[in-house]
Amino acid sequence: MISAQGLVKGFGDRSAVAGVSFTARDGRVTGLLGPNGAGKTTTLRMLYGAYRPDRGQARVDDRAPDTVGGRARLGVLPDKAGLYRRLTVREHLLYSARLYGLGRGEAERALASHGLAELAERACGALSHGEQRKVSLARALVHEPQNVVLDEPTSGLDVPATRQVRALIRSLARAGRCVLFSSHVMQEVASTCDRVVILAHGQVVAEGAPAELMATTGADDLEEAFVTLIGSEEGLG
Amino acid sequence: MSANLLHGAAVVFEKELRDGLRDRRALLSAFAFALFGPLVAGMALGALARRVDDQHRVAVSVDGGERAAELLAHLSGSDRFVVKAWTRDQPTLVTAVREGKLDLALVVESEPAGRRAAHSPARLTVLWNGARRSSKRDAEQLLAELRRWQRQRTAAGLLVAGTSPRLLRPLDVQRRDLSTPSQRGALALATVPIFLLMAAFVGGMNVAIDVTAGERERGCLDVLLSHPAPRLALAGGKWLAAATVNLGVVTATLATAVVVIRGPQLAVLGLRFGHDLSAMAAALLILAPLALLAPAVQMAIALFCRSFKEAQTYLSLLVMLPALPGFAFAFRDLPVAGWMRLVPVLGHQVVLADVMAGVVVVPGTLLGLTATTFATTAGCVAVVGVLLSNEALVARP
Repeated sequence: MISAQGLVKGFGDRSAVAGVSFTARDGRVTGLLGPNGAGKTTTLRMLYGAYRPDRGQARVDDRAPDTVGGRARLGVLPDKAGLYRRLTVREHLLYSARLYGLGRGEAERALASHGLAELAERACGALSHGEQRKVSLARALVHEPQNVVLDEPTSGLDVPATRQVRALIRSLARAGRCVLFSSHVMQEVASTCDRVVILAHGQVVAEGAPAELMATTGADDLEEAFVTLIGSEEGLG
Repeated sequence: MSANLLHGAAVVFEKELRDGLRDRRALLSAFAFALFGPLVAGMALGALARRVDDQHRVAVSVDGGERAAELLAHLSGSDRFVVKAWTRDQPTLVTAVREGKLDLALVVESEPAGRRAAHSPARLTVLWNGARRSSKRDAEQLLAELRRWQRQRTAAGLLVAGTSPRLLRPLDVQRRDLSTPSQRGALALATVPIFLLMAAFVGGMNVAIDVTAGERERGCLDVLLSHPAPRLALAGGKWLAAATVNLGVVTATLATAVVVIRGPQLAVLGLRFGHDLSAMAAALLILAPLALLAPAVQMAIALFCRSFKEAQTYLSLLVMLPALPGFAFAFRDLPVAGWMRLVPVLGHQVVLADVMAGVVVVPGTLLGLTATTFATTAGCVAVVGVLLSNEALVARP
């Protein structure tokens, strides 16, 4: 379970997140939705321990995410792929596994379960964007964490790859994991999420299941509900 | 905790070393830069040694030598000239000098009848090719010798005539070039420790930047920091990888210096340089702690930079910094105070110069310098560990 409790974060005199609270539960897919600049990435970064909140607290299974215990329970896919160009796919997964205190067996299992066996000996610098995203995702899940934070996991992927990632997200939730991901693709959020948290101007403006949000706003689809809730179409990607 | 620290550091070290060794372009540039210094010093010493050697053996091809037998006997008697009689015609001799087949020739012109009687001077022509350095240098030596011989002959003639040679030559101006080849050689040799010192700051620089500013720029650091390994383990592993590459480059630079700066050249110049394995081991013993310190300092600085290029700009300037005291000692002959031998970089310059000059280094000095260097290195690695926890430096885009 991942929870944000009154998170506040500013950079200089610019406020990025102004009091965000929500809970992403186990066995559910929680989507963080918002226009560009709403504070999605900053919120996720506080939740996986890259940023320290100015106020409030982030918790991962009741642990602070910037502790060794918190990090061990969390799998993270940041907005940038963050791969090493000269390392092969296998070396990436093995490196990550060993940093989690695991071994070659876990790395090989991740290679197989994410369909990366054929790419195992390829250097990551030579992979396509979609393949790189797949490797990043496999790396984030190599230690089979209970909680997963994914920042725009389908960004830049083609249709088959996007469908694969969505299927993976659903399967993680079915296995009882807590999945929190950010997106600005309405169809993706509507079809994948059990629960949606809508951010605008660094604050939570609505929270609920997609159907609930549509019912509350009287909109026919999630996109209409979203525009109604944030009060403008500005910043929609 | 310490087992976790060691395990994390070992994992990061293995990965960073593998990654660094695969960056062929960066390695090539580090080795090329580091080898450049000793190669240049070796070439300079070789050229100086050849010049000193040549001073003793200026070859002169003489046409018409039988017309100036006394002069020729004088030149042949000197150990600085090798006189060869030219047996072919004069135009062939001129062509040979012009085309560079010969550096120097002397033509003793035949005298028209009656001129001897009129006490006209004997007419000699020195042939050389000014476009060639060796030819010009040989000609200057021959002309100087001819002037000297002429002065001696004039003085002897005046004495026979009962006149003091002073009347003709009231001043005896001697030219003394205080910049001897030996000194110029010593200067070239003194640059070797400076280049070795610079190698310690160049060898692992690219790896030190890549594992910090480079990873930050590519977003890899963000992912790495999401792992549960202690920050100090990450800093330690990265530092050890950069230091290993650095140590390799320093060793290669030292080996190049030993190979290119050859003993016989130095013997000609009256210089000495430790060539045996024990001297090389001593130099490596002095340089190794410095090769460990440099990447730690570079990583701490690079973490303040947002991109590889930005870090490269600052750290390229830093490469010059350790060389400054070295140049000051080499060219300004500054006095060395005792405390200087304990200050990292400064002390390494002084102690290394001592070793190369054949001065016995007190073990206590070496131990003291190594201890201060290790302490500074440990401090810098700890700082890198702390900086890796600083979100303003590593997490913000």
